[in-house]
Amino acid sequence: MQELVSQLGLDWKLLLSQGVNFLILLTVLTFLVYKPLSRLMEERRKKIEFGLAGAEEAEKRLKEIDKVKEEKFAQADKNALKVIGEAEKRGQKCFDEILKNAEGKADEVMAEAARVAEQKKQEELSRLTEKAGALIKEAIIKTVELDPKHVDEKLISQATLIIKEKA
Amino acid sequence: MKYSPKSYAVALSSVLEKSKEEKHVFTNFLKTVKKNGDQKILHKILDAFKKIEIKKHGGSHIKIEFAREPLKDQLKSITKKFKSQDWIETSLNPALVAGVRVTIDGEREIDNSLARKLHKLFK
Repeated sequence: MQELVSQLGLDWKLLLSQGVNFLILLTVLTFLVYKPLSRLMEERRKKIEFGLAGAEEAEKRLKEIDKVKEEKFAQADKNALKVIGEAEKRGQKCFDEILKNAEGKADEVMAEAARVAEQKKQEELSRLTEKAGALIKEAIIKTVELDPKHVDEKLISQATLIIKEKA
Repeated sequence: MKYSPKSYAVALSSVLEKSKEEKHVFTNFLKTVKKNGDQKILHKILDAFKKIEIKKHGGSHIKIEFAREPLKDQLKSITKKFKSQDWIETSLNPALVAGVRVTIDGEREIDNSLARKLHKLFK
């Protein structure tokens, strides 16, 4: 064994000292480099994991929001259709009422116009009758005044009879 | 106006009823009216007195309006329809056109004038 070591050119002391150096270096590197780096790596990994988890959550939330949005849109569409339908119904009802009122008013106006026309006609007729009456009256008076004796005689004798009856 | 025409007329009528000296009563009555300053209503007093006297004697005040001067027999035929106690007044009213209108005591009216008949016909 010793022979083999000497043939390979190994020096136990040197090997030992180098081993100690190596252990010291390993210890130093472990505390000063490896552990901080490991800690940093772990933190980064956690951050990345957290980020990924957040992204998944966000994606999930987005999907949920999309779903809710679609539902809301569907509901809004439905409501809008309902509102439009009601508005159309109300509009139609209002239109019908306005039309009905307008027809009623038109009838009233027509009736009023007919009444006014009839009244004017009656007034005109009355005026004409009055005028004609006055003319006839005047004609009778003038005729009587030409020879009043007979008319007077007749009327006075009639009056005498009336007085006799009433006495 | 101190008293109403009716009051004067009632007083005059009651005094005349009791007194026999009509002339004296009338003279004193006129003096009283003048003293009271009521000469302006003398015609109203006489109208009221006339009404009272007619009523007192059981007659009526007859007012006959003719359209024109009536013939004597027309006037006679109409006036003989009333009592002797009635007070008959005649007048002319050309507005009647023809015929006659008789008013009894200012209340009842017998209107047989042409104006009335025409009015009834064309009213």
